[in-house]
Amino acid sequence: MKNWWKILGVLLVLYSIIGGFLIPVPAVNRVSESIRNLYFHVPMWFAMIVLATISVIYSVIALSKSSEDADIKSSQSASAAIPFALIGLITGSIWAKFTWGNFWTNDPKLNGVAASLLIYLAYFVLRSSIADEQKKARISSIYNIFAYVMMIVFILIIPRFVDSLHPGNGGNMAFGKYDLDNNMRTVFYPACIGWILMGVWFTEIRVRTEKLKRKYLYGND
Amino acid sequence: MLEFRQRASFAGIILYLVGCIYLSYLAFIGSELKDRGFWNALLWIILLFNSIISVSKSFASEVKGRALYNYTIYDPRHLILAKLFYNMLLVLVVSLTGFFFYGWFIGNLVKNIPLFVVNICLASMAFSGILTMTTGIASKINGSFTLISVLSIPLLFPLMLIAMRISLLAALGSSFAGCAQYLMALGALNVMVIVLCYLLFPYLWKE
Repeated sequence: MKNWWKILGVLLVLYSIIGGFLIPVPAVNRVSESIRNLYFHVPMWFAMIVLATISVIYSVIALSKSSEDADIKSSQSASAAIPFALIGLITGSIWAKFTWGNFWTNDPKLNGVAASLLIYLAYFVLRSSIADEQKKARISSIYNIFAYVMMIVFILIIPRFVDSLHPGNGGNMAFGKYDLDNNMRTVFYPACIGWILMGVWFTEIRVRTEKLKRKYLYGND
Repeated sequence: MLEFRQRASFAGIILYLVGCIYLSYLAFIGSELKDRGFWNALLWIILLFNSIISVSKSFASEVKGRALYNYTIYDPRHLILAKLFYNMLLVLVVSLTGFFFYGWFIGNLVKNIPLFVVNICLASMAFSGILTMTTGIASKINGSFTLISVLSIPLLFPLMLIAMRISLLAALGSSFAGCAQYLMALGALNVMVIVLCYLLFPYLWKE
């Protein structure tokens, strides 16, 4: 059973969807039932950050060993991260409309997300503008490492000292402190793990198709 | 090793800068620009685009032969440090000139000028670090100006956010101690960008 983690991922995601809608949640002022979005919105970001980290690790490998395999893995996990970022953005935006009053607010985390999306889109613009595969691998890896470090600074360090509307920042308490009760934990953690596993699976599929595509285009090498 | 050979292009950058500032002055005739937030935002947008333009010359104007020549005689690490140093100086001069002319035409609303100048210095150093790297990347692909902007602008977001916040605080009259943490963050960003350039540039350089 080498595919156990895929099954586990699907089961965990299914469980989090069903449980997410059915298990009772604490009714907090303003947030009330929309807190269920926590099960969908937050895991997206965890999955995205994990995929971006995988991508940058393979970029370092690709750069130090100039391996084509690592480059495929790096670029495909970056492209698998984008849908997660988009879904995270959409779910977050809807949630923000109901709790903070607007679809888009001036919040350091939102700015960080907008920047990271633009960075990854720029990464693909860069990749598509280089024809030579080896050069593409080398240059885009350099940009990926550079960009990842800036992104981490942006989404993990800056929100620490700028006020944010998000829980856990600027006087808002973190969810964990007062209303992430044990019922919610039983759904939230599996949801995170499940979506991360799904992300890794997506990446693996993309890597395999990309390899097949290259094999078809360039023959065996 | 420094490249102050292209004096014409330097004059061009300064002229472009003054032109931009004068244009924004013309655009604001009739309406009073007294709001510090707005004043600040306009200044930083102008400075941002001017630093992109000034740094984008640094690899683009290299002819093929000279790049090869540099490649054979210099260690890439030394080359990137020299380029960083030169670009930092260039952006610094451009930004300070920009601030001077901006204050001249549009009016200076800054209360704590030393803090503002220190902030401009730190921010332009970090600007030039990021821009040197992205220009280097773009130059490997016949560096078009669009590509440089696309690659660098999202990377500049965090920097702009911190720098604009400090400068707004300085404009409102905050003291050095009041924004010590932001200044430290800016300094740390500088160090990080330089280290990254130093580590990654050799890979970019080899053909």
